[in-house]
Amino acid sequence: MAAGQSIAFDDVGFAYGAIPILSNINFTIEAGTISCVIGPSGCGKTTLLRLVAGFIRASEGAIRVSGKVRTRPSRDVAVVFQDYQRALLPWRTAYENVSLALEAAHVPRAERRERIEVMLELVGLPNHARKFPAQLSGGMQQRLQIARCLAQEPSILLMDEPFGALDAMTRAVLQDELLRIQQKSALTVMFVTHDLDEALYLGNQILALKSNPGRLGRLVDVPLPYPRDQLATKEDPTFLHMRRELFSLTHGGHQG
Amino acid sequence: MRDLIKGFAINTLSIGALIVIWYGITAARLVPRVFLPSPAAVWHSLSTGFVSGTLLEQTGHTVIAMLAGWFLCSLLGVVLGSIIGVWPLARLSLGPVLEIFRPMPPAAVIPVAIAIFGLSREMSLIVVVFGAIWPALLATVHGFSAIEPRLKEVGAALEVSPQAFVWKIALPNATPDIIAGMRLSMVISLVLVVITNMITGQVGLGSLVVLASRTFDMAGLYAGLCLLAVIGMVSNSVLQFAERWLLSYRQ
Ligand SMILES: Nc1ncnc2c1ncn2[C@@H]1O[C@H](COP(=O)(O)OP(=O)(O)OP(=O)(O)O)[C@@H](O)[C@H]1O
Ligand SMILES: [Mg+2]
Repeated sequence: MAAGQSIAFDDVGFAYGAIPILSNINFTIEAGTISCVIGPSGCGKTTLLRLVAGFIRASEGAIRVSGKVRTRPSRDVAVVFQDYQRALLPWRTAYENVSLALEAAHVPRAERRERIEVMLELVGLPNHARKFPAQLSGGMQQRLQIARCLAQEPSILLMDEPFGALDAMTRAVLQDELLRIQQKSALTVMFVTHDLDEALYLGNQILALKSNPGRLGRLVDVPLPYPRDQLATKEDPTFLHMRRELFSLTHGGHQG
Repeated sequence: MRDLIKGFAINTLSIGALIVIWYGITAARLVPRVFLPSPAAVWHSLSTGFVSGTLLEQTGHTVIAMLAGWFLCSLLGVVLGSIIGVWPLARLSLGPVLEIFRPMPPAAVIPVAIAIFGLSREMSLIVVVFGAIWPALLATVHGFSAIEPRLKEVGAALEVSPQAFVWKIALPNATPDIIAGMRLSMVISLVLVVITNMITGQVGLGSLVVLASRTFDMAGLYAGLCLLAVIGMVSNSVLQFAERWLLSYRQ
């Protein structure tokens, strides 16, 4: 997998018509790190991700990926959508869904097979290659989407509440898989979540957004070492301390 | 498979019940024989017709005309519908033209078609295509326009080429709609084949029915109607089966 790229937000603003959604967004995500975006519902987290994906363009300022202004979607930036049911092709098997990424990249047929199998192995679906999405559980569908995103060999992985609809067990497993993959490949990950614990557990840094219009409330570094552990990390005094601080920030009400 | 057998059993039972009721009505002479012959008389007419070979020929012509019309409708409908669905310019320019032709009753085209092609099989085919293309065409357009926005974004993020997008995402996405439209087109094809056949008088079940009714051959008339019902039912079941098989991924 390609090593990560940095993402720089340079005074970014976005408006739907006359309604400002995001304004004065300034920060940088270092290559090969995980940044988690948190904030109240409707503050513009998804919009921020869609800007980086290139699905929409900033009304003000610019987003730079490794210094280059982002104007449209490209294969080196993969997007894991929250609604995985809609992001998979229901008429293609798990194997064929992953294959789509390779077909799009014009990978010769002879090479595809092995790479698809590696990806399915990586997300723990090697025995489900011939199943259609409708025959997979929610967690498996989300893994499949992640496999397709990894197959496109991105340097940046954008994830919009990817584990939001999953049960706690599956969620923890996928969090650890994500960390393992990211540590191995040095991907740059931007991860939107509602869940403070998840943000702290995964992230190198946390961007807390405020609403109306969406702007950066706080940018904090998470000094917890990797690899992280579901029990030990979450009992670490630093984790607990930061959790308390961020909780009062996001739930405190007086966010001005 | 189990559902299939169950469905088949229920179908057979209800058709059997219909025949039994039919028999009851004629046996009790609730309706004069001249209007409703008994199942046995119709059966006799069917078997002698098939033994002599004339009925087979008539049925064959009708089925072939229906399939040819349906095939043309499907082909033209899907190709045209895909172009309109994919290409906004085609939608803008062709949309109003289609809106003029679509509400026109197919029967209104018959005199024009006769003037151009005479009382021929070509005339019949044109009328069938003109009348039965709409479900296939409109369903295809709808299938293409109703594409999940998320899939467009998936395609964009993967940089799928426009041609590959149509072929690998838009067309399969539209398939359920297309098949539903094609099933409707089949039904309308049969209707129009029979109507035009009644007018042209060439060999076929339409002319058979007309002739039988003129000569008060009620058993022959009902035999023709039964055959038409069977053709309709069988063709629909075949398409239903194909649909189930093609869309088996939906579970
Ligand atoms: N297509 C659109 N047209 C107009 N306004 C929109 C559109 N999409 C989103 N918005 C508005 O932009 C704001 C930010 O939406 P966004 O989806 O980015 O929020 P979010 O932080 O992801 O929320 P959630 O946590 O609920 O997913 C919302 O107030 C929403 O109403
Ligand atoms: Mg959102």
